[in-house]
Amino acid sequence: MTTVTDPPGLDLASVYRKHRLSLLRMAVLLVDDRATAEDVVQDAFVSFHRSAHRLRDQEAALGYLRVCVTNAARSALRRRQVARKHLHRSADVGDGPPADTELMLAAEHQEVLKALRRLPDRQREVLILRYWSDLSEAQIAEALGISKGAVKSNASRGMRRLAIVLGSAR
Amino acid sequence: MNRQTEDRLRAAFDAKAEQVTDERLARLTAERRQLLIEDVDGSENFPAIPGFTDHQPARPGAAVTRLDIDHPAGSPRHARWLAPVLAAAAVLAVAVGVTAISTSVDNGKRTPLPPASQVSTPAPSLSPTPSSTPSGQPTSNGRPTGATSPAQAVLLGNGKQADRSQIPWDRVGPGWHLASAAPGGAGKVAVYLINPIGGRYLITDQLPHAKDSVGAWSPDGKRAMLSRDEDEDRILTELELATGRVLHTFAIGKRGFQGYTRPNGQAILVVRSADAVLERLGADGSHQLTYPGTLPGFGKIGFPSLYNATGAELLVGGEHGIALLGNDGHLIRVLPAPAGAKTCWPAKWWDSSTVLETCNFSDGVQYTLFLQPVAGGQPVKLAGASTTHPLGFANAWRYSEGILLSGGAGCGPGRLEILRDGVIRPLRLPAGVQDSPPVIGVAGDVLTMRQLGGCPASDKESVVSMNLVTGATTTVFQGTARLIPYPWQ
Repeated sequence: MTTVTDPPGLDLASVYRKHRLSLLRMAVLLVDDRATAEDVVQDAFVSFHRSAHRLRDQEAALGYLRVCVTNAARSALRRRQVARKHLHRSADVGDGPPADTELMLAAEHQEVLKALRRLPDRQREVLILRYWSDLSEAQIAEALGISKGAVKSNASRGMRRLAIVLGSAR
Repeated sequence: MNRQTEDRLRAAFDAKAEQVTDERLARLTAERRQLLIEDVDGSENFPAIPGFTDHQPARPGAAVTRLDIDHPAGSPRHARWLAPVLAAAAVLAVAVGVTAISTSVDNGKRTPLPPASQVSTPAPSLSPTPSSTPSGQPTSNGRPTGATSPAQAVLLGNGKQADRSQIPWDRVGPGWHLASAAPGGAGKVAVYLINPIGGRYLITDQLPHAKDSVGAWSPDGKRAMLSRDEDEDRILTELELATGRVLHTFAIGKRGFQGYTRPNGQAILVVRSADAVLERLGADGSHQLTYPGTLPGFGKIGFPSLYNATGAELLVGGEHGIALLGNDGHLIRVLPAPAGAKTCWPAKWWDSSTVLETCNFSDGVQYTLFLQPVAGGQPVKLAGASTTHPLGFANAWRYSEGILLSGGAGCGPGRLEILRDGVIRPLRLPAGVQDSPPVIGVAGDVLTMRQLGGCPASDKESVVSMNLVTGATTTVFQGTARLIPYPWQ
């Protein structure tokens, strides 16, 4: 019988306790919906648990989890776009954030997050991983499966576009 | 790179992320979770591990298996690794559930977020400052994090009372009730949580006003909004259930309280009495939004209103059917009333895409229930007025063997009926249970109803629960009380 055991030096419960909240926050920023973000992170940890015996240490574990969460978030957003396109026949359904959570943010933060939502997916993802998760270019490249050059250019274009939308002066 | 934009972006991320806490985790163990376990390696979401040499390639057409964590029976293929996966997931869920939020550590590259009080928004505290339970155990979010595992606690027995510190929060869910009652004597109102077998936990009996009564239980399960009238003012008081602390008290003037917003109840809905206009207020009473009183193509908005689970949309009633609005008040679509209806309103969500709609077909009372798809389309009649049920039915609840129907209640002629296999029959109530009882709610197969002790109501009121399948009854509360069922729908 196959037994799933912790690899040497990798305490699964510790990884979960230490990183679940930050991954959940990252997922919320990516999918803008708490319930979907929880599902995304839950799925990532389930997969992580199945694959954990192949990972060498905690650092590799976190990198793996970030990749899972980012990919799953992207899939969730794609499914949401398909659902909106095919299921809602009239004008835009209330696809904004829930009534009470977003409203509790200051107007300033709402404006920034609204502007962020207008960016193309890739630029938004890069900015979240760079300015929320504080990942390096190499880590972002690994999480998104793109080159470091693509990370740089998406970050640069994303910030430039944000600055224009927000009306920030250089 | 624009430094100012960077700073604004980081600040917005911090503020948004601070709203995400692990508070719900303790509740997740009380809710059913389904684990989606991919029956394939190497899907697009779950990448190959670089450098791993024995990685198995994806099997085309492999099925996705959806498994219920409460019933870990799976295919024989899963048996070898399924039990350890589910056991570990359960361990992890419990482990996180007893971990204090304030000690959660992120990836080490961000400094801890400032407490809510330092954020420049009028946000009510989602993480109250730590307080001590009477036993001296330090708490986080008002919930004990001491050695006793709430998950293992036995439910308090019928008729027994305990302090709020004994509430097994991870077991609070469907079948529980929030209650307010005047205990008598001191003239003070007591607020309780009552478990499904009638054991009750005292939240507080120190509220200064004897007329406060529970109006709503917040969707996140953590707060209660109490309501009372003073002269011509309606006064709302929000109570934190874990600590008994009053969070806010404010007057809403001549307005009716409609309930909390969803998903977490960070705001409330009220209706202006003068012109029947819906407004949204913060949980501290601050004005947020006034909804339109009429909508083009729909007419005057009626009540009650009904949020969807995410809080992004709400349903309202009216003379021409029901309307689906965005949370900012814009009209999404009108769901026209069935022919002949005078007015309709949304009673409850039947499922995620269907609303139970109540329509009145007379100038008096003649209710018919419909199932209306929210995406549009013809409503399906569920039950209505007839010679044997002249008032029709105003509400319905599903249970394992059928649908419970409620018409006029209290001291009226309506009775509780069961719809099964297309036939409506009276619900057989045990001897001693008053017929035509007001329904408080249905959770699973258990109906909770008020017993008025006579018409008009007497001081012999009580609240009784009854299993609709077995007929077994339990007195949940003896005396006059107002009960609100757990906000799980």
